[in-house]
Amino acid sequence: MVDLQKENVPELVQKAGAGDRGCLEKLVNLFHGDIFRLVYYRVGSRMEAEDLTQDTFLEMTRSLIRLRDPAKFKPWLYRIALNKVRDFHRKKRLRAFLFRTKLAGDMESGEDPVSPLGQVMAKEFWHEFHSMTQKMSPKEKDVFMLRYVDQLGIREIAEAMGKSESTIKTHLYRALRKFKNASGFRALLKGSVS
Amino acid sequence: MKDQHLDEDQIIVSMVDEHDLPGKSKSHLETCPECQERKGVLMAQLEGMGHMAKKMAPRPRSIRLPEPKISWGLSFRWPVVASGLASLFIIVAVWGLMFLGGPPLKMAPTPAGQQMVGLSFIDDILEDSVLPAYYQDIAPVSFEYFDDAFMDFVIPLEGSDEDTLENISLKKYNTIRKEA
Repeated sequence: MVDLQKENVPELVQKAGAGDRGCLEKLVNLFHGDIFRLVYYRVGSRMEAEDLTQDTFLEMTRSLIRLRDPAKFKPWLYRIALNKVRDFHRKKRLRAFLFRTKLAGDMESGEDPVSPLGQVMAKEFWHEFHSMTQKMSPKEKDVFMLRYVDQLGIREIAEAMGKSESTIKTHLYRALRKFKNASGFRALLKGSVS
Repeated sequence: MKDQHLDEDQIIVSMVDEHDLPGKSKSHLETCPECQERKGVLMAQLEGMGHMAKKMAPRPRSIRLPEPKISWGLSFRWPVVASGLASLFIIVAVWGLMFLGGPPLKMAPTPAGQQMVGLSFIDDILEDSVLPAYYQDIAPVSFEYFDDAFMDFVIPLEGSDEDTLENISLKKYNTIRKEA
């Protein structure tokens, strides 16, 4: 397991951009889990998330040479992943419109061996989570998730979304107000936190 | 001191970015355990949400990056290179026959001459008009396909592009911008 804190990411990015295969693989290992989860939270299907994660890293490999500032690698990579997710949802909506199919809403449970109780808890968690985030606008939801689920800082979110920091703060403020009013979800969290 | 406690909105603002709070509220938050606790509860719930989301997501399977591209080489692209060389050879051979093959070929009544019909056909194409003069006289249209104006439009003469429509429009636009 590669530790993100211990690695000098900009240096890895520079070397990978210059064609160092080892550094490229190290970069992928560093961010693979985070990017997969980012996609999974938004797509809800393990298989789709794996495909989109693969696409994200392929795009990263192709475009790394064009990244001017290696220090901004993380938000840049997250932006690629977010764009992939957005494209996925657009195609899905188009397919649903053309073929009159229903858009799936529930999160698919992973194939990891989880106890029945764990599965019930996961289902309840995602159900409450989606009920809470449904009250947010798409932008508010994006910012909220990037901040508290994907654990990005305000500046990183601003760079990943291509918006100003003050816009991000405004969206986050509104989203937090909605989070505070979501008593059902907060009660669920209270149980898990305590 | 109770009236100075932060309201709900101020607590949320402090969660977004503590530096965005007014100085008085900020210093109150630093010293008031009650306000710190209210903020702490919400922060703990958000942190718990992040942990739970991570716990309830499946583990990703490893991914494979594509192999780096092999540089252009004869061994890798040999069919492309071979067909390219063959095409080049054919072109060179045809041009060689046309320009370096001695006097122009003429139609001959002999069977060997008849085989040269293909090459004389190329000569016909290169002529201005393949029709005999008699047919050109009775033809209803001119055989000068492209008049000078059209050719000038397609291939402008050097230095003649100063007064094209686009340039006139651009000059006008720049003049208007300067006047503005």
